[in-house]
Amino acid sequence: MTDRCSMWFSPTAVGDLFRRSHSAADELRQLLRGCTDAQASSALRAALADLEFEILPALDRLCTSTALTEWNRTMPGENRGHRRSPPMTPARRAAELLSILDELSGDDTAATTAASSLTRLIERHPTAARQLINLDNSRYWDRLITRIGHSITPARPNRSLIDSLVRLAAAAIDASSDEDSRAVISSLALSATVSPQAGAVIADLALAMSDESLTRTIKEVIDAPRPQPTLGPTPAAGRRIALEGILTVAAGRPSTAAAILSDLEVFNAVVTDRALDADTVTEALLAAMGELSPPVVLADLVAVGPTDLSDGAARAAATAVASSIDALSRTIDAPLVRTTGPDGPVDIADADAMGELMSRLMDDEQSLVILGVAVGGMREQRLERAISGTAHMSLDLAEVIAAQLADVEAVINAMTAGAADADAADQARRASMLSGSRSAILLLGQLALLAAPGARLVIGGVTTTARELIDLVIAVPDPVPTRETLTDQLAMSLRVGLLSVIIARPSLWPSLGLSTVAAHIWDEVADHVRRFNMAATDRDRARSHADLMVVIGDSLELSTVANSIRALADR
Amino acid sequence: MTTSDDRAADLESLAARIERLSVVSLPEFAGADTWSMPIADHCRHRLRFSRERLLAVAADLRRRALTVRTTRSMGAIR
Repeated sequence: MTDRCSMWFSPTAVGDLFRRSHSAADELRQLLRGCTDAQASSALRAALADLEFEILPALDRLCTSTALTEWNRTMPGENRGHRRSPPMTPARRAAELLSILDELSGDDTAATTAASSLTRLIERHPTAARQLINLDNSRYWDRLITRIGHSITPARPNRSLIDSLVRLAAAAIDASSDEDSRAVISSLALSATVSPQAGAVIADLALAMSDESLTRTIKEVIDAPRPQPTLGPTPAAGRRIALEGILTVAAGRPSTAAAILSDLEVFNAVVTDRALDADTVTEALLAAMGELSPPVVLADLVAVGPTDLSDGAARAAATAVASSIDALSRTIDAPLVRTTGPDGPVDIADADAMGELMSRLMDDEQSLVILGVAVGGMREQRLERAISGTAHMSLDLAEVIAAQLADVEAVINAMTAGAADADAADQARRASMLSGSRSAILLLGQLALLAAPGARLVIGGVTTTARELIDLVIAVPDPVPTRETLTDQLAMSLRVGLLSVIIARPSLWPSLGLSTVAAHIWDEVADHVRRFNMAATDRDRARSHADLMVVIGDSLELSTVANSIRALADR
Repeated sequence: MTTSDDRAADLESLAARIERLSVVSLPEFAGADTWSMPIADHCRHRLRFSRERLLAVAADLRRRALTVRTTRSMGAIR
C-alpha cells in the first residue's frame, strides 16, 4: 500500500500545492475586487474559477482519498507534511463550495460549476453532509438547496443546475431531517416549474412524505411562478408531473386527500387545471369524498364554478351526484338543490348553478355514463320499492310506480335540459344508459297505467317478484341505435320474457285460459323462446320472434294472451 | 503627469500585479510527484492555460499602456 501510494504522488508536494493554490485563489479574489479593466477581470475570474472548481477539488480528493488516509494511518511519523495545510475533509470542502456559491450567486457559469462540484463531492462522500451539519451547526440543506434553487428561475432554466439540484435533493432526503426537507421541497417546487426531472423527484418523494409535507409541497408547487410560455412542452411538464405525483399519493390516502384539498387555493387549482390527468384528479377527489362526504365536496365543486371544472373534476362531481342521487332527486328541480351530509343537510346549488353543473356533466361522456348508471340504479330501486310496497297492501300499483318514478324523470329532465345544444341533447339521448332507462321508464309507465283487467292479471300473476319485472324491463339490448328500435326490442323482450315465465309455470295456465293448449304447441313455443334468448344478433332475435308469433297464431288461447301482452307493450 | 500618463501607469501596474500572481507560478509546483491520477493532466493543463491567459492579458495591458503613451507623444509632436 505504502509503495503504491508513494509511487502515485508525494503527499508533501500535494499539501504544498494545495496551500499555494489556496493562497493563489485569495490573491486572485483580492485583485479582482479592485480591478476595473473588463478584459483583465474576465481573465482573473476565469483563473479563479479554474482554481476553485478544478484544481482545489482535485487536490481535495487526493487529500481525502481512502488510500491517503490509510497511508497516513500506517505511516504517521513521516508523511504528515500536507497536514500542516488546512485539514480538508469533504465536509469542509462542501462548506467552502457553499460559500463560493454564496459569493457567485447570479453568475450562472460559476454557480453551475460549484453546484456540480458539490454534488460530486456529496455523492462520493455521503457522510460529508452530516459532518457539515455538525461543523456548521446550521441548516445545511436549507442553505444548500435554497442557494442552488434560487439560481434557477423560470426566466433562467439552467439545466445543469436543475440536474445538480435534483441529485442533491435525492441525497438530502436520505440525510436530512424533516425540518431541513422543507427547504428541499421549496426549492424543488420552484424547479418543477421549469424541469420535468424536478417534478418527477417531487412525485417520487411524495410517497414518503407526511400529510403536512404533502400539503406544504402542493401549495409550493401551485404558488411557484409559472414559466413564460415557450415553444416546447417542458415548462408545464414539471409542474404537472409534480402535482399528479402528489395527487396519486392522495388518491390512496383519504386523510391526505382531505387535508390537501381542504385548502381552498389548492382545491381550486386542482379542479380547474385541465392539463392534469383526469383519472388522477378524479381518484384524488373521490378519496377526499371518502373522508369529507360526497355532498360536501360536491358543494365545493359547484362553488368553484361548474363550467371551469376539468373533466377529472366533472367526473368526481358526477360521482358525487350519483352517490346522493336519491336524496338529490327530490329537490333537483327546486330553486335550491339540497342533500344530506354526515352533519346534516347540505345546500348544493341554486337552480342556475345546478343547471350549469348538469350542462358541464353532459359535456363529458364519462360523466354522462356515471349519471346514467346512477339513474338506472335509482330506477331499479324505486321500482323495487313500488312493487314490494304494493305486494301486501291494497295500493294502486300504477299510482305507486308513477310516484316513485317521478323523481327519476326529474333527474333525467335535468340531465337533458343541461345539454348545451341540439347536438349535445342528441348525444345525451343516445348515451345507452340514458336511452335505456328513459325508454324503459316510459314502457313501465305504460305498463303501470294499463287499465285492461287481462293485462293487470298478467302483471300480477306472472311477475311475482320485483326482480323479475325489473329484469324484464331493463333487458335493453346493446348497442341501441335508435329509440324506435329500442322500443321494438323492449317490446319483443317483454313478450318473450312473459311467455317464458308462463311456459315455466303450468299452474298459471288455467287462470290465463291456457289449459287446452296442445302439448306440441307448448314444445314449439318453448323451442322458439329458447332460440330467441340465445340469438346472437338482432336479426336472429327478430326471426325467432316472428317464428314464435306464427306458432302462437296456431292457438286461439295463446293468441288471446299474446295480444294482451302486445297491447301492453305497444301502447 | 497628465491623465494619459496615469492611465498608462495604471495599465502597467495591473500588468505587473498579474505577472506576480502566484497562480502564474503554480504550474512549476504541479509536477509529476504531485499527483498521477487521470484528472492530473487535466488540472495541469488548466493551470498552464490560466498562466498563459493571464500572461497574455498582462502583455496586452502593457501594449495598451504603450499605445497610450505613444498616442500622447504623437499629439505633443503635432
